[in-house]
Amino acid sequence: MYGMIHKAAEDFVRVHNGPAAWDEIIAATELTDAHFISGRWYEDDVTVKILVTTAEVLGVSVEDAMEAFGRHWVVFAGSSAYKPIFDMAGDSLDVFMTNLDRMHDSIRATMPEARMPSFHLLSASETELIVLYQSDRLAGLAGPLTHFVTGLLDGLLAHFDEAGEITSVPADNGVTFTIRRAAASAAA
Amino acid sequence: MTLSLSPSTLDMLLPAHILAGGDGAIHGFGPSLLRHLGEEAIGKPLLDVFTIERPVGISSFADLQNEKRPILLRANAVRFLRLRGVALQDGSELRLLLGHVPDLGGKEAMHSLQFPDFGPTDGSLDVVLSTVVREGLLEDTQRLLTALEAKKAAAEAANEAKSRFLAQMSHELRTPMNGVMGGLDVLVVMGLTAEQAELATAAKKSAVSLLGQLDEILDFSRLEAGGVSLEEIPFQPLDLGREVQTLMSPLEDERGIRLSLSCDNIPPNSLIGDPGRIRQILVNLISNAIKFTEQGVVSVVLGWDENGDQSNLRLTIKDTGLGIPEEALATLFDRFVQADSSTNRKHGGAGLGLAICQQLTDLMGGVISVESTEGKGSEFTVTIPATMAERPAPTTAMPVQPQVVTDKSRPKVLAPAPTQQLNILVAEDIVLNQTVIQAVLQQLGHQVTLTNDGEEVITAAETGAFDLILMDIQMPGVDGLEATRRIRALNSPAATVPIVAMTAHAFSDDRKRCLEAGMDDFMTKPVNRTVWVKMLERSQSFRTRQAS
Repeated sequence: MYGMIHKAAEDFVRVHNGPAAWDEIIAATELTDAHFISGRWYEDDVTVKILVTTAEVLGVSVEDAMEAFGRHWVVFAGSSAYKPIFDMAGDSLDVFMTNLDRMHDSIRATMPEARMPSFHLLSASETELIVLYQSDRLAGLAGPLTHFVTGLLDGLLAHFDEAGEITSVPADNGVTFTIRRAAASAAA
Repeated sequence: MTLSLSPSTLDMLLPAHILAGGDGAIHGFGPSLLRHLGEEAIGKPLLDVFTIERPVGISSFADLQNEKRPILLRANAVRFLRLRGVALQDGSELRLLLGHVPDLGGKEAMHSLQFPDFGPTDGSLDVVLSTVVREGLLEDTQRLLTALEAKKAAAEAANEAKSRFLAQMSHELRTPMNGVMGGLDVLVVMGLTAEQAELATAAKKSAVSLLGQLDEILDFSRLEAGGVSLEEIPFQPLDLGREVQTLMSPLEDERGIRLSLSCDNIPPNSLIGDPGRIRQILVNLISNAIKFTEQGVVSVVLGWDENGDQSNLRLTIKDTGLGIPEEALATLFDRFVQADSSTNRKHGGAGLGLAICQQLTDLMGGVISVESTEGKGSEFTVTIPATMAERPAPTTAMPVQPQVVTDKSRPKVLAPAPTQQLNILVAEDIVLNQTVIQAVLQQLGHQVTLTNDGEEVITAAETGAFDLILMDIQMPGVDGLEATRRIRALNSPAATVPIVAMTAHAFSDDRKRCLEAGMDDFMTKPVNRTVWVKMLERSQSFRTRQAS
């Protein structure tokens, strides 16, 4: 994955647990180069090692860590130098989800080695959104990635001043996520 | 072939299209322009709402109707809106099939356009996103650079602190050693009983050995800290060899080892390099050779090799000693390593000498190597890139044939036989050192006046008639450097009296600072009797020079 993910992980730990925790995580991973560069490609093993070690050092499950990191990813991307892209993708969750694949496709022009996931908005209504998530990484990392996307969708709800419940079910070619919007959740 | 598109398909494919009537009025927009310009723009003349930037010269709607080349428009009311495409006549109407051309340097366009403004085939969006991503990456790299610069600055500050500490340690260790060695120097020539003399000599040997270890550790630490800078000055290698030979003579005398010095193709010109560091390598290698040789000869050859543009000074130190086991050769230049633990016990030493030689050689861009046969001896070769000075060396040329200079009949103690009694003014703040200096100089037949700091020495120099001033550097109040500068500025004969630094600051930068302050010579504490005698001899030449 690109170093941008690692920078987000670093930001996540520094914000929530302080700089010493990040130093501890990097020491525990025994990585020789901890100066991640956003535009550089790193092996997935490096990313997995960082995230698993983060969970260990913070004393939480990998699933919880991935969800929390997914939520932070939205905060990180939406407030960093990449914010204009986030803003261009739409000012509502529905529009944003519609444009997410286009965003990923366009970013690949700059990050050609990126293996971007796909988010296909299957249906959208006032009560719920149904999104099909597909990634060629699901084969080995279905569990952690499902939790990451759950956190990410939760982060997007918060970004667009919404709340809701997110559930997921495996599909033949990916994972289907259902976002039940808060008003609908309350009525149910 | 006719391609018919429904309005909704056209809106999806080209969200920034424009439809104009035959009269030039806007009849409709795609959803993108509708969002940015509003419905109120519909009905207005196209050329009132947009300026045609390309092709140049289109000033009427009729011109546009006949234009087959690509066109570039800019919205007059919303300046960041630039559109490019073609104008196609569709019956009585004109269709402008357009896409956005955002100003990539303008933040307004970046912040105002959204994904739906771009058609699915419009690569401009990729360019916009790419620009944002690249700016982000640049910012990220800049942050990394700033962080690394901060770390570099911190490391440099730490290194500087380490260098300062080493300099201070060097001073603090050498100062008491001056008292120890000077006191022993005086003691051994005071008519002691045989037993007392033996003990005093043993104490002196231990002190010399201790000083050697201190020097090695401090040198090594300084090299490790990167605190050693090289000089680029002219020097004559043979003079340097003779100087080292003289320096090493007490060791060879002691051990009964002969030390020979010869040269091979050494040019008459001076070389440009760092004689101090080359001297240090020679001293280390010769000391080792003598240390590990039970009997026989240690031969030193100074050579000069030219190979095309590359010229090297070659130092070869060969001994007939123990030799080095083959398995030990690979790690011989590693720090803290000696050939084996038994030699370590027998010969002592911190095992830093060869590591220092290698570091100094590396620093000078040279190569150090060794060949050895166990039981027969070792040969160390150091080649150091050097250039020749333009002019031949001035005076001290010695015969360029191999020669054995050493002679077993050399006297072991230099006799106190001054050619002339000197009136010497000494600035030294430590009482023990004062006592030792006074004793040594008086034993050598000179008169001594002691002062305790810089102020006192200036006053004494101004009011007395002295042949020589010995100046400590680190003193309370006015230090030795400042005192020298003030004496040199005096409007009296005292301004020309030779001044010799006598300091525990042992690094080459210290020597440079002393000479720059106006001193004539430099002695590093602890000063032994041989150095005293040689300095006093040299001081005669300062006086002669100043008189002439």
